[in-house]
Amino acid sequence: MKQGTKIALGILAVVLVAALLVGAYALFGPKGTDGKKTVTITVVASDGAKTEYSVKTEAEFLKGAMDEAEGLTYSGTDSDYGMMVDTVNGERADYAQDGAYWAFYVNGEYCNYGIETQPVADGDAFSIEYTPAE
Amino acid sequence: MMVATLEAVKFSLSFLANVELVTLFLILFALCFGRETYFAVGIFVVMEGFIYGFGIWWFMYLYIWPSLVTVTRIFRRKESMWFWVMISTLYGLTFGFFCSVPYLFVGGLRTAISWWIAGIPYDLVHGASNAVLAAVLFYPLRKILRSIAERIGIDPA
Repeated sequence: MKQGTKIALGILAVVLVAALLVGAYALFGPKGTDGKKTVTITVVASDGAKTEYSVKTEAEFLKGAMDEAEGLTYSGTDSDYGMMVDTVNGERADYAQDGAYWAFYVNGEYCNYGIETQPVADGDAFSIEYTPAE
Repeated sequence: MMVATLEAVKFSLSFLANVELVTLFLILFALCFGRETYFAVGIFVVMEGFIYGFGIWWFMYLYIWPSLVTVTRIFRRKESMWFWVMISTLYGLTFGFFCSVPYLFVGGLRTAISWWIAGIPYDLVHGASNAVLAAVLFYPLRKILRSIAERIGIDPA
């Protein structure tokens, strides 16, 4: 086989895989919903203290709802899979320094997405829990 | 030397999400230093666990990096840079898919698929950045590493 044909086949393989990924994401990726929603966000600190926020929001994704929760503060760093939240309400849970992390749950189940892409639906109960690493 | 290089290049680009040189260096190490690369990748994976914690991602590292070395060993006779650019790109594009395997055991098929789908935008960036880095750096780095391998008498076969 000629070198040019091999290169063309290689490019075709890459484009095919990329197109499959784009298609899968478009079909099955996280989708926010329009409209007003009321959700709760509960922060569970390292001492077990719970702080609950009731948020009325039009945000499609969790980050927007967190930004609108009055009194809730958070910060983090960019990671391979979006923002990695390491500090919530002034309490840091950084694995390297604290041996702990902030775990995110929606309706009792572990969130599959980062906060920028975790969809928000009316009535959702989110929980952000200080979790010591095992 | 290989482990130190892997750790250094990983740390140096860690501020850029999904842009990494570990893929390219592992391919080049496997091409220039042969089976020795398995030892290096083993130590690298254990060190990553001690540095960043032994989370679920660590179990992905147990097979995802050695698999790349194995694929490279299989095709080690391929000299064309474009072949290795293609391998690097496909590796980046499918990284999330193969990394989702541990979630099959943790949360089942649905969790694994959701996790993979959520990471697709990052896989696309990973594939594109791997392509650019391999296209730019493959030849010069291979030249340097081959001369080192020759100097210390390593036969990559």
